[in-house]
Amino acid sequence: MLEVKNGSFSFRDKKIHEDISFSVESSEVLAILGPNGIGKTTLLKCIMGLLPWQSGASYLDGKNIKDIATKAFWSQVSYVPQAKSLTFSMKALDMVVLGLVSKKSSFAMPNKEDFELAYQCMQKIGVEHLADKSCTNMSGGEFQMVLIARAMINKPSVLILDEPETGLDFRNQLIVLNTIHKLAHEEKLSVILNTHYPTHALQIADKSLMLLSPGHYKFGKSKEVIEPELMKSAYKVEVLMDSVNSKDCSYHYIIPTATV
Amino acid sequence: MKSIKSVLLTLALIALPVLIAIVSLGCGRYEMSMIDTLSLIYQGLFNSGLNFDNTEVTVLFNLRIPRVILAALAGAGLAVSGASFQSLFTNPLATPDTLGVASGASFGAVLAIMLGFDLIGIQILAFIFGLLAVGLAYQVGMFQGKRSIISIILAGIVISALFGALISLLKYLADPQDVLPSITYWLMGSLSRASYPYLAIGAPFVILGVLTIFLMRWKLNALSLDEDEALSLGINVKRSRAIIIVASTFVTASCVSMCGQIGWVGLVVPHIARMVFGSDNRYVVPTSISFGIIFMIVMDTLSRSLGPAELPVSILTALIGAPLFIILIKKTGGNW
Repeated sequence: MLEVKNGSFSFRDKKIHEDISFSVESSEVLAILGPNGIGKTTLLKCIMGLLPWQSGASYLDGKNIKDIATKAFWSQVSYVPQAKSLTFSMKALDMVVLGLVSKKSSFAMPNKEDFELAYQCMQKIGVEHLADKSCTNMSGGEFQMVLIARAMINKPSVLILDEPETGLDFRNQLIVLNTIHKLAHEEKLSVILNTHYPTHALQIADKSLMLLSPGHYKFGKSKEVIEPELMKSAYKVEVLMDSVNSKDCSYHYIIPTATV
Repeated sequence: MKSIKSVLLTLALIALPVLIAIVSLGCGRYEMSMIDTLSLIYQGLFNSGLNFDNTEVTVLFNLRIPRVILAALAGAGLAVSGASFQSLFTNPLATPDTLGVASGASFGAVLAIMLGFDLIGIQILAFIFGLLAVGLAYQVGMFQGKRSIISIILAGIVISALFGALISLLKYLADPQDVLPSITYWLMGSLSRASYPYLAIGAPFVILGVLTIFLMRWKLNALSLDEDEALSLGINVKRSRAIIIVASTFVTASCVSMCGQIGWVGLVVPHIARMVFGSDNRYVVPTSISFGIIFMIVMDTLSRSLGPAELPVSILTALIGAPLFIILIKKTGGNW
């Protein structure tokens, strides 16, 4: 379980987050939403300790993450950053096996078992056919899946993703979202993800946290957080929200109709 | 199948430089056959009875062997530190000199020449100033309590320019009759100064540095990712980065202090290695060592046997390295 209590963060005297509190249980997905520039990525970095909370703290299974050794922390928490292109090519399997780099001694090389583990990780999310493909020749969707496989190689208990479905087409968005949803439940993960798509939050997230304006946020069940009034105050747009049923499933849609 | 292939490749990477070295030992104005060379080396290693009145023996043991060793060290060293900086700075254009080590070392050498130091004195002062330049760049590269890669590179460029200006100043002040020519010649880079005492001082730094980077080559892959990404893999990024920078700096400072400025090796050789085996540093580093040794020995052999007088090796590495680099970029589209 990951929990943030009363976290505050400012950058150059500008308040970004103030007194923010929330938690994610295992087998649960939390979506963080909010307009551009509100500090979604900053929030993720604060949660993981990559940026320091100025007050308040993050807790992993009840323990302040400041008191957890770096290596131990990162063997429980995996981070999938926004996918950006690599300067030097690397085969997907080599990229996945790199997830083990801190588990081995300083001068070690990955061995046969490590590569087998990496391959199994790719198999689990259905991308083993990419193993020999170079990451620089991949589509955005393929690369995102490779990064998720790398994040899973340490069998973490918390998975944190920064806009995993941004820039992907419909099919790849579905693949990535379904994979995240499936992993959260099968591996009993606590998942936190940033997203620009409120419908995706409704689709896979149990809880949502919407950043409204510096220092203001709303945290709760996704259906309670993602509603027209809050959307209006966060994104400054009027929206139409409804759902349709098809094959016993309910699908939500949100249409922005006017700027405020 | 795969393992047989990799064993053969490893063997080739080791055997080729050795073969080139033996051929090179026989080349030069005093030509020796490969069999003569090998039998003399065998004698030298296993029977102590070498006759140093014999020209062959003197040429081989006092001139060519130290020189080929120096070429091997410089080739391997510059190529490996180039490869490590390219990865660390995620920039295919990084060279061993990106943080100003060569300018610093050259300034040290020029200063020593003006102070009338002997060869060993020049070497030591060059080495010290090489380390000093990078130390300065590393200190200056701290902005707002953070030391990002881009700020370190910027600081390196500034420090490099600073030492470049100081070199010009010293050259301007130097006696144009005898000191200036020897400064100019030193800066052009040459392996002709190779001797055993020279190697005894410089070689340990090169060997230790190359070994460190060789051992950390897998970690280098992780260090070439974004800082946060590398941190999230559980790596102590600050420490690993510092180790790589210190190791590369010791290697390059020591190479420059022994041979002067030799360009293009650190840029071109790692890229050739990437073209052959891909960009994974687990292969780039060992391949760069092997190719670097081959490249440098061949260049030096050409430099001492092409014309009637010796051609400064840096001219050759640039004349051959620059077009080679262009061909590489045209072929691969700069996509490694």
